[in-house]
Formats: sequence, C-alpha cells, structure tokens
Amino acid sequence: MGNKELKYGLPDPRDDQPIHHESTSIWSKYIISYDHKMIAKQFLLFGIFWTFIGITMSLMIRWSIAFPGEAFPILGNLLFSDSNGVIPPDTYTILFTMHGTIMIFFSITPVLIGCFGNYLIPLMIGARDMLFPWLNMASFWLTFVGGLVMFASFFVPMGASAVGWTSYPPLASSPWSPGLGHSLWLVSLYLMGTASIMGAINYVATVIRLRAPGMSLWDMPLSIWGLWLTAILNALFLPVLASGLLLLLLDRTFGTQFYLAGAIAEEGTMGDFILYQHLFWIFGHLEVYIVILPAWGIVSDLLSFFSRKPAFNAKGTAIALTAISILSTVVYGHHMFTTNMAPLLTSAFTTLTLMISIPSGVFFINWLGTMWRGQIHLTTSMWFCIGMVFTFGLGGLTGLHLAAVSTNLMLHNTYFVVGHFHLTMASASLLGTIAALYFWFPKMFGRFMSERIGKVHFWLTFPPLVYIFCAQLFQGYAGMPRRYYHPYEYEFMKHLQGLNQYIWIAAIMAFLGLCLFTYNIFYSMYFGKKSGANPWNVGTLEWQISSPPPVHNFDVIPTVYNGPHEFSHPKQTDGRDWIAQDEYIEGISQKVD
Amino acid sequence: MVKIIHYKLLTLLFLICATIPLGFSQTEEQVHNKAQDAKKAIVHSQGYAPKDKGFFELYGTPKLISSFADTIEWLFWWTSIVAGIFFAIVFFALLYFIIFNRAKPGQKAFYTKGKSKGEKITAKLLDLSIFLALDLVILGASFYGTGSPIKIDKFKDIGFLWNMPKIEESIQVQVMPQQWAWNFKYPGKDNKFGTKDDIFTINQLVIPKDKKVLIQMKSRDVIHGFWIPNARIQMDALAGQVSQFWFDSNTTGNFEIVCAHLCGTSHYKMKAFLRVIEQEDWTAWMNENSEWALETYDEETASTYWGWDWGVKN
Repeated sequence: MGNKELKYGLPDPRDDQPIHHESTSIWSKYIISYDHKMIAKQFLLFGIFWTFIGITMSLMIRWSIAFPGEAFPILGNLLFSDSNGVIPPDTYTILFTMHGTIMIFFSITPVLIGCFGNYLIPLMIGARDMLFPWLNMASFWLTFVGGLVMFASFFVPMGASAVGWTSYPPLASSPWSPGLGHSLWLVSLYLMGTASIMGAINYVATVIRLRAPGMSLWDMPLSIWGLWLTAILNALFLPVLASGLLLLLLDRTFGTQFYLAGAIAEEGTMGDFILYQHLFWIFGHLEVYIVILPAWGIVSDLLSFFSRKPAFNAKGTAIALTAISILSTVVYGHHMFTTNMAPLLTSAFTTLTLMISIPSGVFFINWLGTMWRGQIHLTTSMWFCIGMVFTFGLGGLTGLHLAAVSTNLMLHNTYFVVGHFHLTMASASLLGTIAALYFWFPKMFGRFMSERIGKVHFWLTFPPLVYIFCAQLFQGYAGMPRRYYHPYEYEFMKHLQGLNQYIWIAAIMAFLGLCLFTYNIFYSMYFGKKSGANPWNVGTLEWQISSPPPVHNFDVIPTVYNGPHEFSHPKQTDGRDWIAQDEYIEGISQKVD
Repeated sequence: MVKIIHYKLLTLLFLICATIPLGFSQTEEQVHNKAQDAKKAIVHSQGYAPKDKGFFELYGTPKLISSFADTIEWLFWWTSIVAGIFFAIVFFALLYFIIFNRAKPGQKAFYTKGKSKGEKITAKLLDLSIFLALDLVILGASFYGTGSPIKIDKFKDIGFLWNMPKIEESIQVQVMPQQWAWNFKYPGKDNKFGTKDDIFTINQLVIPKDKKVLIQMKSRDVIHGFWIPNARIQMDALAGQVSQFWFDSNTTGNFEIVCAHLCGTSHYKMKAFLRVIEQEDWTAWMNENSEWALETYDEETASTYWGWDWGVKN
C-alpha cells in the first residue's frame, strides 16, 4: 500500500516499524532490554516480589487484630525480638501504611499496568514494539529505583513511613513524623509516579499511532480500551499527585509551610493541609479506576473468549469505560465529606458519585449478556473472571453507601470502607490480573499454567477473599474503625474479636493460594505443558503469531478485517467457531481500503 | 465430577457469606456482663443494643441514640437491601450460566452482539432500574429540604448536616483534641465562652438528654476524627480552622467516643466518654462545675484556658 496517508494525516504504521533483530548479549537482552515483552516480564517479577512483601504485611496486620498481644507465628521472634514476637503498635502503624502503599504502587500497578499494558498493547494492536522503546525501558528501571528507595526506607532510624498510605499532613509533616522514613516514602512515590507517567505517555501514543491498518478504535479489544484509558488518566492526573507529594517533601526537608496550619505555623504564614487532601484524592480516587479499568477490559474480553460468543454490546462497554473514566475525575470529594465540607459540595459530589452506578450497571449487563446462551468453557482463567464479576458486584454496590453523604458520615474511616475498596480495587483487580495471567501465560512463555493447580488456587483464593472483605463490611457497620491496633479496648467492639479470628483463618488460606500460584508460575515457565500458537482458539492478533512471539512480533504487519470477538458466526462454514482479526472471509469481514 | 463440585462450592460460598452476621453473636460471658452492667445503671456503657431490640441490633451494632440515626439507618438498609437484590440477580445469573450454558461438543453459541431491539430494551430497562431504585432514592433522601424536587417524608430529618440548630434551643460545646486526648469546654452558667466560669473537662462529654448539642472543633495538632458510633455522626477536627456539627441523644447512659482519623501511634487509645443524663441532672452538674470553675479560676494561668469566640458560622 506504500506511503498512503491514513487517518489523522499520519503516515502508514507499516512504513514506520523496521524489524529489529534479537540482541545476543545477556545485558541487552534481559536487563537493559528495549523489547516490550521482556520489559513486561521484568515488571511481572518485580510485582510478584513486592506482592509477597505486601501480603505478608497484611497477615501480620490480621494476626495482631485477631490475637492482640500474642507473638506472630514463625516470623515474629525473628522480626520483633524486642517485644518477644508481638507486633508493637508503632510497627503496626508502619505495617498498614506500607501494606497499602506496596499493594497499590508496587504490586497491582506493575503487574496489571506495567506487565500486561506492556505485553498486550503492541501485540493486540499489531505493532512491532512500543512507540518509544527507550522510554519504556527507562520506565521500568525508574520503577525499580523507586522500589529500592522504598525498600531502603525500612532500614532508616525510626523506621519506614507510619502515617497511613494517604499520608495526610499535618501528621505527615516533620513535627509529627520526624525521621527519614516518610521522606524516602515521598521520594519513592515521586519516582514511581514519574515512571508511570513515562509508561502512560508511551501507551497512549502507541495506541493512537501504531494500530494496524484497518483497526478502528471500535475494533480494539476491550483490554486495550481499558489499558488505554488507564494510561490517559495516569498521564493526566499523576502530575497532580506528584505536585502534592513534592510540596509535602518541601515542607519536610526545606521548611516551607504549604501544609502547616494551626499553632505550629508561624503567624501570618499559615498553609492549608486540606489542599493536600484535594491534590491527593484527585489522583487517589482515580487510582481506584486506574487499577480496575484494565481488569474490566480484560474480563470483558475473556468472558467473550470463553463463552465463544461476541462480547455483548462491546461498543457500549467501551463507551461505558470512557464515561466512567471521565466521571471518575470529578467524584473524589466523597473521601473528604468529614472535613466540614460545604453542603453544596457534598451534594454535588454525592450526585456525581452516584452517577458512576449507571456505566457500572452497563458492565454487568454486558458481562451477563455475553455469557447468556454461550458455550462456556470453565477454564481456570474463566473461573477467575467469574470471581471478578462476583467481587466487583459486591464492592461496587457497597460503594453506594459511601457515596451518599448521610451514610458516609457513619461509615467513614471504618472497616466498611476497608471492605469496600478491598473488594473493588484489591480483589476485583487482583482476580482480573490472575485471570489475565492464566490466559496470556501460554503466549508469554509458550507453555500452559497447570489447570489442576489453577483450580485449587481459585478455590483457595476466591472464597477467602469474599469472606474476609464481606466480614469487614459487617465490622464496619458495627462501628470498628480502621487502623486500630487494639479495638477491643472499646466496649462496643469487644464482640468482634471472634469474627477477626475467622478472618485470620481465611487470610491464611488465601496466602496458601498465593504460594501455590507463584509455584505454578515458576514451575510452568519451565516444565508446563507446551501450548501451540493459538491454544484458546481466539481471533485477536497476538494469537495469530507463534508463542512466545519473535522479538519483532509480526513478520508482516497485519491488516484488520474483523472485530476482536468474532465467535460462532452463523455464516462461517470451515468448522471453526472463531475468526482471526486479520483474515478476510467473504461475506463476513469488512473491506479495508 | 470436578465440574459439578465447582458450582456447588460457589453456592456454598454464597451461603457462608450470608451467615457472616452470626460471627457477631455474643458469648455467655458477655451476656452475663451486660446483665451486671444494667444493674449498675448509669456508670456502665450502653454501647451494645439490648437483646430485645430487633434482629440486626442483636448482632451488636451500636445502639442508636441520636434523633437522625434512625433515618440514616433506614437509608443504609434500603441501600443494602436493594443493592442485595441486584447482586442476587447477578449471582443467580452467573450460577445459571455456569450450570446450563456449559460448552457442549459440536454446538455453536448463539451469535449476537446485543444489537437487537429486545436486547437493547432489556439492557436499558435494567440499567434504568438501578438508577431509579438506588440513585434516585439515595439522592432524594440525601437532599431533602435543600430545594430538591424529590421529597420522601421519611427523610425529613436527614438534612441534619446543614440544618444547624439555633443557639437558643441547643447547648454549645467546644472541643479541642490533641495527641491523644479529647478536651471539652462548656460556656458555664453565663452561657458565654471566654468567661471565668467556663468548664473544662478531659475525655468526658456530659450532655442532657433530648437536647441538641452544637459542637465546634479545632485540633491542637494533627487531624482527629470525632466519632460517636451510637449517634452515627463523624466529623474531622482540623488544625487552624473550626468545624461545626450537632447531634443529640434520646437515651441516657454512657457511650464511647472514638477517634476515627489516624493521628499517630496511640491513635487507638484516644477514647472519650459521652455521658448522657437527664436535663435537670445536667443543669445541676453544670451549675456546680461552673461555680467551682469560678472559684478556682487563676488569672496567672489564663493562657491555659484554651478556646475561641463562638461566632456561629452559618
């Protein structure tokens, strides 16, 4: 087709992507790699490492709530020898702070956005690599440095950050949390934020610029829609977080007073710490959507793939994803209802937050519509998708209680909030990520993950997660505040201890599931059953090339004639029930000029 | 065989989660203790609901004391039940598809992209029903009395957040939390703040029954969250600016005040008591303490008598 000008006046992506040959040195192949597939695997390993640290912390938190004053089993005497293995209150504060930070920024974000964003975007849109491979490499290594800084913060005098992952000043200002720990926390997140912005710019530009000829936005798989919208939100709003963190860092290290108010501030130079809450939640609330949007997209795709049926109203799902991305930028105020917010603002934020339920409803209708009258293959991946729909249903619906200002005031800062956001941004996005890994693992490594271990993993993970976080919803309703070291000193919470002990058992089950999952990943990487190029019989572009793909992905840049979810087409006569996006079938496919 | 086990497990899980409230049931010892407490009348906490107070209170959610708590509770359960119905639809649809839509060899799935008229109408009706049953009711409830066109009589008290009581029909208290204690200040007999008969207490808030309590708060150091679980109201105390809210109690007794906002290592120890007594007892308490405050007032240490001008904001 030559140098024909395509849409947007941009040159044809086919002319713009030369074939790179595989590098032979270990250094440039495995470490400073420009290949998006290798960078994705680096992100995956990075994420798994931090997930273990974050989850171990959550076990410590659960233990000290379930059995206050008792030594933490096995690790306790090693880590907390000064207190005979009992987790002391100041360490407990560090634990929940770092658990939140690590799980959000060092576990879910690298795996879901770093790994799958990198791996899927070029492959699913038919590109040979990201648009800016160097930026991609730099993004991972900046993330890595951020991780090192965070890791180092555990070993400074007075310990790591202990102000909650939200890091509200004035508590996070130097008078109330002295020491290097929280400053390092800020530096680390600043680096992470910069790395994410670099990745995000890359994703946005790649999707716009390098889509294969014939692939309109509506022909993109919904996974790409989710990852793309996430990248847009990241690129637009991470700078807001970064500015908020930077001001706090200046307060802590250079003695400025952006966030200092009250008696501590000098007369006439008073700052405003509510400003931090605005800056933080403009991004902080988006973060919820940032980690769930890719999971929504991936699950929308996988449900269609395993039901052997076109995604029900895929365009509607894409529009709902977009609508929710836009809405999510203007609802953050519901995190601040208790800051004596003006009635006009509380009403506005309540209304806007409730509006989120409309596009969310569209997802559920479309997911169920996809499964309706399908031919459902219950693979491990499909089970995790179903689990995601289940937990997101619970989590999404409990968001309504927190959206309305009147019920928010009784639930704010309780375990109801904890249960709610763990069901959505933790469980739902985690289950979505796991589903994605079971599904794309054959593409990444050319081998299946063990389905038998996978099923056990599912039943060790999903029921405990639901149990833990539903129980926390009830605890929150019963009035248990979050971040409490010893809630049973209060009369009205005494009876909740039994429930917390059940939660501990469930948490141990989920941890065993995670261990099994990790074993499954590393075992299958080398000894798993070999998969062919297209083991799931799916039509998207990444499955039309060998597994694992060559460095340049596509020998010939494909031309797209079909949507990503063409299954069980009645006019198809060759015995298959799927159509590849890049194959032309007379009478079914659309013509591309 | 394995295939059947899967959806049985899923159903089992649903049932297990439905029984989570049972985890709240109290032990023999707790019930016994409570009987003991009741005998000692006012001294002990009434944080729990008594056994004869209905199904959900049985499981130990804090007893409701404020005049607006019932309305909030109603809204909470409306949201929960309607959301529960929608969730049940999702759950049973999933279960149905898993059982009856399993892949059979040689069969093709029904080819649809959700574009037929019937499918479009069903999808839109379902989405609209979420909007009508949840969003609209919650909105109507939340904004009653603020010029909202949706008015449900049930919610006429829920504008509590911005409908502050008048000074004359309420008592006023200033609160100044610090790491890790609650300071309270009453205007005393002359009903004016900043005079010599102001009463100061620590970790004890004494209020009369059935009287609105107007509270102004300002933190001494970091943000603290003033929360009375029994009254279903929570508000942050900020440094450098005053936050204002009100609550009341229709029950006498002792209740716990909790710090809801992380404020440092001993956050969990920041406990205060709310003591609700009869109106005449309270007047007596106030007069006695006010006179005592007047007697013990020391000009030299005036700077330790913290506080600010009332200057009602709204």
